[in-house]
Amino acid sequence: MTLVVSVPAGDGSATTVTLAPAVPDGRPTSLAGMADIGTQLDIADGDRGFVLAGEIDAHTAPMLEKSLAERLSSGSVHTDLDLRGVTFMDSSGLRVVVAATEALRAVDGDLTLVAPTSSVAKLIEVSGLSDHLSIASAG
Amino acid sequence: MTADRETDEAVHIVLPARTELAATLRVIALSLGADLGFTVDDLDDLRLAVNEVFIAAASDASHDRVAISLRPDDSAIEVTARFESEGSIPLDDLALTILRSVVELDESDDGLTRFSKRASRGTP
Repeated sequence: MTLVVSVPAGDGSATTVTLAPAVPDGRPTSLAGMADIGTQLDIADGDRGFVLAGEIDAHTAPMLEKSLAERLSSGSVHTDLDLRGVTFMDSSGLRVVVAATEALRAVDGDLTLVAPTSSVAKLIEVSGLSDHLSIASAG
Repeated sequence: MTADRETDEAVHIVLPARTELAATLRVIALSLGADLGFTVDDLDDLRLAVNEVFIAAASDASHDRVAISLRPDDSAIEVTARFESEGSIPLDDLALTILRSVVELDESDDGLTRFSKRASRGTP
């Protein structure tokens, strides 16, 4: 993988930095640290579902999708997603939430989003899905 | 990129079109927005918009790399994105809805995805 970044230098010029593997098939030292700012999502079991912490984006949404599918297949049709620890969610996460909601409602269950943070609440609002999803404040 | 662009405060980044790199782009956008004194809401909007464009690009398997420029001025950041090769980034209805809500989206069809986010007046 090669990553090229051009950033302003202090003297008004620009500096271009190319980060590339130091050795073939090796992970470059400069990129190894970038893993620390990669997306993280923790999914913990809660009383009626999952307690989430971190970011739900295109990279982590499949993890949530898998967890929700496993819970549904186990027969748990009423599921809570505690979102108070979710600092970011994008349309990928929203699609998983909507699909899970529809799947659960199809078997007379539901998915409840508990205590979404302001950024998650705004995403739901601007997407026009506020009336379609079940949202609850922190109990 | 033109010569005058190289002397401003713009940041140009070329990323492999892989979803796990969206987080890196979000961090860069947040950093630039914070430097301009964006409010928390502004930062959320900018982060979401940049992310939506990038993951739309990453979902297109026919392109390997995405070129993104973030150009701050006194009170706004203009973002342009395109595939490094050729072709505009396909945005689906949900992505468009989100972008239209959180940033000023330029919908001219010039092969670039372009939007800007202006700092709102408020407490950063």
